[in-house]
Amino acid sequence: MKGIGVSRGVCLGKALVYSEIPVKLNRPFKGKETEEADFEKARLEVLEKNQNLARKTKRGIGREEAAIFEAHCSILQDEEMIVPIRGEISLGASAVDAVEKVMNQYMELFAAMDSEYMKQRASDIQDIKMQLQRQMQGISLPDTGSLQEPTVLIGEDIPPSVTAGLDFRHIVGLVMEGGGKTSHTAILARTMELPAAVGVKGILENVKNGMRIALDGNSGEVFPEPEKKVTERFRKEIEKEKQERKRRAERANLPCVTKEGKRVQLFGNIGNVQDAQKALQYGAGGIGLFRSEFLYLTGEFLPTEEQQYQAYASVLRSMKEKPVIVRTLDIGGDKEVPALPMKKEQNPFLGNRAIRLCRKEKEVFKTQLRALLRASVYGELQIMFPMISSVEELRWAKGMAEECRRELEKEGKEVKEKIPMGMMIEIPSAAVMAETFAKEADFFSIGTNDLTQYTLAADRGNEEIADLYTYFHPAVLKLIQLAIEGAHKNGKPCGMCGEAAGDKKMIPILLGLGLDEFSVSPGGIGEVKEWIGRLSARECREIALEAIKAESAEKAEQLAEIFWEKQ
Amino acid sequence: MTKTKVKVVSKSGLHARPADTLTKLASKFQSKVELICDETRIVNAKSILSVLAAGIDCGMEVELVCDGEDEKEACRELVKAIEAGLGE
Repeated sequence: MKGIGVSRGVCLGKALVYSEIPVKLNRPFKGKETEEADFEKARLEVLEKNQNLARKTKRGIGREEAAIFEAHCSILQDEEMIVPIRGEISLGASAVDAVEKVMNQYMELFAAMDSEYMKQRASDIQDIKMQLQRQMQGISLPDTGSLQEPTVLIGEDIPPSVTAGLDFRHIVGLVMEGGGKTSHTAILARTMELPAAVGVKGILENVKNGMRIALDGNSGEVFPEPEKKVTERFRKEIEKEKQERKRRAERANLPCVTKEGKRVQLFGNIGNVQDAQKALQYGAGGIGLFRSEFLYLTGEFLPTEEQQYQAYASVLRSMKEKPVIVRTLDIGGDKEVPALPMKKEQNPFLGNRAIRLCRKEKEVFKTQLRALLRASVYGELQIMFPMISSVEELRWAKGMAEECRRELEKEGKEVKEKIPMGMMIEIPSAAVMAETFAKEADFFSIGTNDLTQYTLAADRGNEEIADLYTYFHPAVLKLIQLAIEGAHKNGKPCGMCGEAAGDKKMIPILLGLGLDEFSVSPGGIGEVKEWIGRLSARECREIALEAIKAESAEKAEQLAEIFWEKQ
Repeated sequence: MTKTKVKVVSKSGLHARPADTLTKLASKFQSKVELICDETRIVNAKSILSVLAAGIDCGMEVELVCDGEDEKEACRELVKAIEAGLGE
């Protein structure tokens, strides 16, 4: 079977199939005693699971984090939930339907309350409801924490809130039936350096739990129950990669310079505190993108100021004098946060996401800014705002940061004097008006994934139109040029934290346009450093301008290919 | 029946951890434990859902009503805990 290889490397492992089977409602009534027994059994089983999770979390992570599971345990033992559910059952509802009705009433009650905190509790109740119903219908989520051997996770497409909660110690690869090159799963896989293939048609139908799987994340090929010959080839390949990684780590200490000796900033993209260590190991000169969403995706509670402060401070401390660009909350679109339920939107990518959502949820945004400002004393923090499409949004965000700074200073808390505030260039309007934005922003970072999908009106997760989605499109290249030039005219630096910054064929074009900083996933740093070392920025200038003038993405990409052949 | 008025001092009111601490403590007693807020609404103090749904904020005064064999002890312990901020 073959899909699209989205994260390099090969692996061998046992299959673990993840599927979200919907709960079936309107079940026939099997009699009061049976239904009551079903409910009680599920309740005790789910309770035990949550008690174990609470204990495990308390030991492994901390008391704060364990509070979520403890709250779940309290709800599961709450007579104000149990009695009404039994009441519904005695009126002739099946256990699943009784749970549905009673829990929905509580959910509506909480969701309708003014307080943000109460609205979040609605999602706790939703979560318990699902746990109870899944338990009653025998639907299980993969328990990756108890895996013993190398495992390949297989699914349709795994939502971020689920991946954030998985234990990845024994996961060696990911295979998705759906998803595109820049789907969340693909990005996650690259960050974690796990081989991955997406868009693998038929995988769910042909693979069962426990089957042996060989996965080639370069070609996108998947072999269920591989022959001995294939297994041996993969074993050799895995060994080779191990050696390669070792060599790459050795190169990490060398500086990143072009052939003519021009110094280029090479940074790492990270999604959590552990990634920072990895970025340092691979020789990152800084963090070009710290995706703060991961703090929000794991729990059913929004992270507190203190939790966030700890996380930011820890990354800043480990990076020491190296810059760390933290992107403020970028949710909505394909990233949902369990603790912040959002309305279903017809066009989530064009809807209430990132900075737009923060303007509505001012307190959530302020909590994050306060945590960031407090952490600023530990290193070289830079704050970056996502999804900026108009100058007003940028001014508003900077104004909020100013407000938080004043509050903190009044409270006697220390904040670093100079914290650069920049913005993502990921909406065409921002690229077109880059010169105007650069007067107010301290730096730019181009997010090519969104910039490409918005410029070409091509959903980056939709495999049906995967061929339309390419950042080699001259229109995208032109916007990149506008962003870089707009920044430089105002004496500001421009970086890139999208996938394109780590693409061998894109690098000559970007170098030629004068990009100041490349930020890529930690594992890619060594390679990008080597590629940049083989290029001269002066020579790249010509091919960059030619590519922008090309008539199609295909032609532009060809130009880059030919250019590389001559190096 | 033992009754007493008490002011909620936990910064976040009876939400989050304080609510959980309160219901856990209340559940240790045999007695029925209720909170009466605004003199009309009766809240089952052993139920996390009821306590949360009541939306009791910091500074609000509630009446604690315990009824049962260990009502005196329950009342004493709960008032002490609420006045101490419920482990916040």
